[in-house]
Amino acid sequence: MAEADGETLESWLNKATNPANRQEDWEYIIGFCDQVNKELEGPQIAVRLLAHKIQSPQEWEAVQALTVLEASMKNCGRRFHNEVGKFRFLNELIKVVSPKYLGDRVSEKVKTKVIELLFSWMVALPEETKIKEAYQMLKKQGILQHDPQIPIDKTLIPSPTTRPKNTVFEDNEKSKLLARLLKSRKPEDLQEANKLIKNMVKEDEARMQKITKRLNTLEEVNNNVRLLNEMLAHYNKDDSTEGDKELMMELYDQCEKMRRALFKIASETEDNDNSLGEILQASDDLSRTINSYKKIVQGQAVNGELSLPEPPKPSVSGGTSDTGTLIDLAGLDVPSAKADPTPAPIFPIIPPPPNVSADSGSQLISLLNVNKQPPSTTGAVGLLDVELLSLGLNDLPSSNGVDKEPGEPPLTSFPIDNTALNPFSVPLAPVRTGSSTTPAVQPEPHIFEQPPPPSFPASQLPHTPAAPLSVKAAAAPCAPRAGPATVLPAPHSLPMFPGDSGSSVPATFGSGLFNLNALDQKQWEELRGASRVMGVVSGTVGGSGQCTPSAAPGSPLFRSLSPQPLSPLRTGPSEVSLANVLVPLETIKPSSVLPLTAYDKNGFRILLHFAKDCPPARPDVLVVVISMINTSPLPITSIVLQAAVPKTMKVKLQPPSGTELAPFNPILAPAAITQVMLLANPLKEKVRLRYKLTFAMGRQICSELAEVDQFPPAEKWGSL
Amino acid sequence: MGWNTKCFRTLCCKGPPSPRTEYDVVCVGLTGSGKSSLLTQLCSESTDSIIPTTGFRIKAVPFQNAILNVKELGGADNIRKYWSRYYQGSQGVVFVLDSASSEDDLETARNELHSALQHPQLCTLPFLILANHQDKPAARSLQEIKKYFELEPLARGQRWILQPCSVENMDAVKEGFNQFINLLEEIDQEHTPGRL
Repeated sequence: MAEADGETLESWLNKATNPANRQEDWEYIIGFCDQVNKELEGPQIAVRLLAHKIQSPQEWEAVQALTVLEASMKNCGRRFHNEVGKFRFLNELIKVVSPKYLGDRVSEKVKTKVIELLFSWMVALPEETKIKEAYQMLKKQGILQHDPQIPIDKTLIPSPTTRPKNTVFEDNEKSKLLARLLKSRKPEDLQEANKLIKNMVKEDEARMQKITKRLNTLEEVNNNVRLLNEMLAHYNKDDSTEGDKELMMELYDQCEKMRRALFKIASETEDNDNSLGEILQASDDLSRTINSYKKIVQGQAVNGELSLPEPPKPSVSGGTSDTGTLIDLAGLDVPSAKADPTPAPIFPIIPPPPNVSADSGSQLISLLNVNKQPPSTTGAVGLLDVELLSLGLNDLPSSNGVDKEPGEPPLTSFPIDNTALNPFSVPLAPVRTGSSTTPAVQPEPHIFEQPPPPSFPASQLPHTPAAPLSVKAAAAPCAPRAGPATVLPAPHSLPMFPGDSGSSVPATFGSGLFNLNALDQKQWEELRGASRVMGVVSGTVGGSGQCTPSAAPGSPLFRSLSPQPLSPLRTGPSEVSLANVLVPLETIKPSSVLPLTAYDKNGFRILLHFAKDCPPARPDVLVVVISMINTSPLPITSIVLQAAVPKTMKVKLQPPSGTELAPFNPILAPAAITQVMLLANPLKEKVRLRYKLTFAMGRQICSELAEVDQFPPAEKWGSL
Repeated sequence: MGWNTKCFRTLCCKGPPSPRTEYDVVCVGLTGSGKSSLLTQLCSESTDSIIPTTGFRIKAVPFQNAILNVKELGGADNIRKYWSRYYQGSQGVVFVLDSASSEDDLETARNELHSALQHPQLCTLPFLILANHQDKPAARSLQEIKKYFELEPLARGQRWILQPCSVENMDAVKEGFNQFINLLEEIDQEHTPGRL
């Protein structure tokens, strides 16, 4: 019987499952499979039709349908597997075996076959999890008792390892059928055998053709990519000839076309992974080259993949910063050097407020040698956050001013018990600031246990009179632990201070430094008044979120204080403190985790790259390199980034390499700013980083408030 | 061919109860070697419409003493791998080769012949090797074929017949087949002594 081309899936299936068939008609079965492969929506339609046939009350029809299903699973590849692995289809199969639906009316033969199929698919297709679920559910409900015993060679996956060159052999059913037919004397059987063989041969041919096509396409892709890349490398807007430009445009078009073709091939491939890997690789190359082209020739900003974090692929060239940001960053390393020296910094803080307040704390920061970020909130307390943020950010100068006054007087009223401070070098830290929401006030003892922070000269504590003030600062959401710095004023006991109410918070923003975790309530009250000012930021407080140097605020205080007072700020030997942690840019090794895009608008992109290792001795700290890049034609200036994390964590921003980005120039490498951010997350909670970004693009001032939470899980930090 | 066909026709038209035994034979060889043509001619049919076989065909070829049910398999590259599927149940093998083919093809043919000779299902069976296309100028002679195909050393212990022939000369073909049938009969007798 001649091949009927152009028949629909339905007609093939009808013929293949015709109850009037004397035996399984492989021509139709194979025809059905071919049709499934040919049609765009083949698998979807096929499973629907099959489900219907399998539920037929006529046993022979259902059995044939199951045979067709099995054959399709073997021949129609992953697309078909995916459709079968959906509950939409699996439910139909379940209905067949379940007494609640059709189970009682269906013959044992059909049910057994269905179960066998499910089992074999479950074994052979572990990635189709729903099949497994369905099977196990059936088992659990007692519908099937034991796993069917089926020989392994019945599994349908043409696994690459076991596939003999001759695909016919994989298909035992077909071979058995063929053998049987050939043995028989009946001419019809022989005819059928003939057809079967012809079909098999055709399948083989199709497969070979696919492979050759794939190989050819891959080769073409490679050639094009190579050529275009080379041309891009030599491309110069003014110097390149018209001919070259045209050629490049042609190549670019070709690349686009081929990318589409590759996707199509990739979806069709049912081969083992090697080929798929190659296809994807080629497709990546194409994308990269296409992006390259767009960027270089058309000067467009391209989505993510292109810039910085691009894996150093040899093929890509032409101006793109291929080599991953860190390498670029290294060049911008200089500024960070400033960041290095640390403990000492406090002293410089002293400078009169005005200096400080300027410039959004960046100055202060460098002075403090601490964080760049003025206000960083822990974000855990929403309202508070906003308040804090706004306060910190906007009122920096003002709060400074404001604080100044009130701050001063109180200053004197807090004699700090130095001795008390000493033993607990840490303790100072855990003063919980105003955050009423602070949960666990850490138990005193806990604090006490903390080892004194290395660089904290407890000896400096004596100078703390000012300290108390700073305590207040600990912007509300100071994490319990925290405390870095908190110079706990009334150190006598460093009882936990259940954070004060919000009132202290605002002002404290700057003072944040002190996570007033442990502070005598009473003392706290006292302090409260004074601490308002504090702003001493030192952001150290481990940068614990909240507390961040809101520069100015503290200043007035400082004026009257000797430099030291601030040092306690630094202290905070609480385990979460980041005060004494400083990671120089050169020591950072990039991880294999893809960078996060924190912000991407109008050509200004900010990426967060995660470092491979944690800082020494601090396995709870994630080192993040923030890179900012400008691919817009406008210069970006006065960039200020502030970050806040939930209370239980701390964030610290080391000084950025710069605060301005030149406009994009296709010839030179794009300007980039790097900044190291340390994130301490000892409780290994989910990290949510809120940031506020302000900058001026051209002449327009922009600001953005957003949150990033796609950080790598805390368990993996240190081995990314 | 005239008288031959007449002869055959009469034979064929003779009634059913001919005591001719039937043997199942498989016919293999590279594509283009002439299997289909030969068999078709043996059945007195026209060879005009013969195209490369893409599957297999079965022909009951009548001879004087026997009828050979010949399963003839396509010899193209993509079908050759399926040959072994057909071996089951065969009692003899007819291997057709193109004596005038290129060196490469000849080598391929040799490899295939050797595989067949050594195939577990065929190694005990008699082989009829038809060195076809003898009418062409480039055809290798019988001796050359024998040597090239290493029949003597390789097929030792096996029963084989090497017959040069061409579609122009069906006599040689039949001669070969007749000898082949004799072989088959002998084997048959060996296995079932009582039967004749």
